[in-house]
Amino acid sequence: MVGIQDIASFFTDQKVRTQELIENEDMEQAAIEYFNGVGIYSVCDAADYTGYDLAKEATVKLLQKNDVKGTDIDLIIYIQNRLPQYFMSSSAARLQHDIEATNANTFSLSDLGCTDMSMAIKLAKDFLSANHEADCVLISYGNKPYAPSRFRFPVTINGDGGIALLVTRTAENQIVDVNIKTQGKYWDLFKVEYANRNYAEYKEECTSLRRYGFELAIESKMSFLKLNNDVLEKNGLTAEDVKHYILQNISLRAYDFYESSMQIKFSKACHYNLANYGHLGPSDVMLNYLTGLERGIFQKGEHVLIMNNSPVAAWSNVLIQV
Amino acid sequence: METLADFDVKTSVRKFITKSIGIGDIRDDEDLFDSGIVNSLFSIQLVTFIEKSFGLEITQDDLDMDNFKSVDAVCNFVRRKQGK
Repeated sequence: MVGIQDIASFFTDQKVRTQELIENEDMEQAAIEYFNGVGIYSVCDAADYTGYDLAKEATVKLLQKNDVKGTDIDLIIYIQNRLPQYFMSSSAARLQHDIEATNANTFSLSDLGCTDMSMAIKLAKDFLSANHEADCVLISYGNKPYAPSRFRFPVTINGDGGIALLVTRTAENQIVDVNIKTQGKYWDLFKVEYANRNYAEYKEECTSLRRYGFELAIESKMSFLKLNNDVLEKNGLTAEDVKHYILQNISLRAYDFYESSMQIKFSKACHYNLANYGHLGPSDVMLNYLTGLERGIFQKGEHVLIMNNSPVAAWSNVLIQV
Repeated sequence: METLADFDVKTSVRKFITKSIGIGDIRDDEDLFDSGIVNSLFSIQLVTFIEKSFGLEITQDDLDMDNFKSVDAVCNFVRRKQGK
């Protein structure tokens, strides 16, 4: 059995009210209205911490909490930031070095947006299934904005934070199934032009609001419906067997969209983290799962279906039995 | 020439759209998505309405906004899917 042994998050103490962020933004009325209705009231501002620093802090916290040494780790999956601190160097190798994981192999995963986390969990599970001598996979990620503005219209507001999880041979939080679907035609729906520009000029652009609000929205609903139906059927379950649904933390509108169109209800852990931390990229779904465990929302033996997608576009679900 | 069946489709589509967006006065050729009066949830509701009302299956190949952007566009799409 392969499961999530434990999860740790890391945030700095500095919190910013999102209403303060709007004051420095030059926004059109539609953007202001979206901003005000997004459902995010504060985010953590990690100041000088890089994405790598946040990932490492979460990792160190996780290893200490579980009394796991670096040498116990067989594989490190580092989820790369959209804007790495350096070109050419290896953040994955840096983490291996810093936590003295001398017996591990390491690599970075990127380019699927939030869905990177689902891919990381799938690879961890598959790695342990294929290598009987291996016992421990570390997944680590730190979220920092890749442009001066934290606001991504018409999507979300980015916050700062780190997440780390250990995937091991455990009966806890069993990873029952992971399914991922990618769709290449939306590869540049969102992009940041960076060549020959200063960081202050970096700005995320949605190249077609119409495609985002229509084609991708409907395709997302269709894809999730199929993925969810398939995973239940494959594992001999019905919709009634799923006690909790989790989504990444984008906006209240995103929750409403999937809840209305799929007749499901997302865990209140999602709403809590959306309001307090904003969007943390691939971290979101694991932060929500951790909150569900810590607050006693999820009970032993229950099935939790994690839905996780990205406008690049990728859709995924991870079925976990607590 | 618009047939009685075409008229029924248009009436039904217009009624659904005006009720959904809460605006009674829209032109049949008005681009709903350009005007910013609809959102992604409306998109899903519109597609579901078309499938249920006209017994059609909308596939990913149909997901071109030009098929759904106005009352006229939806009616033309329904006619094409019905093979008329």
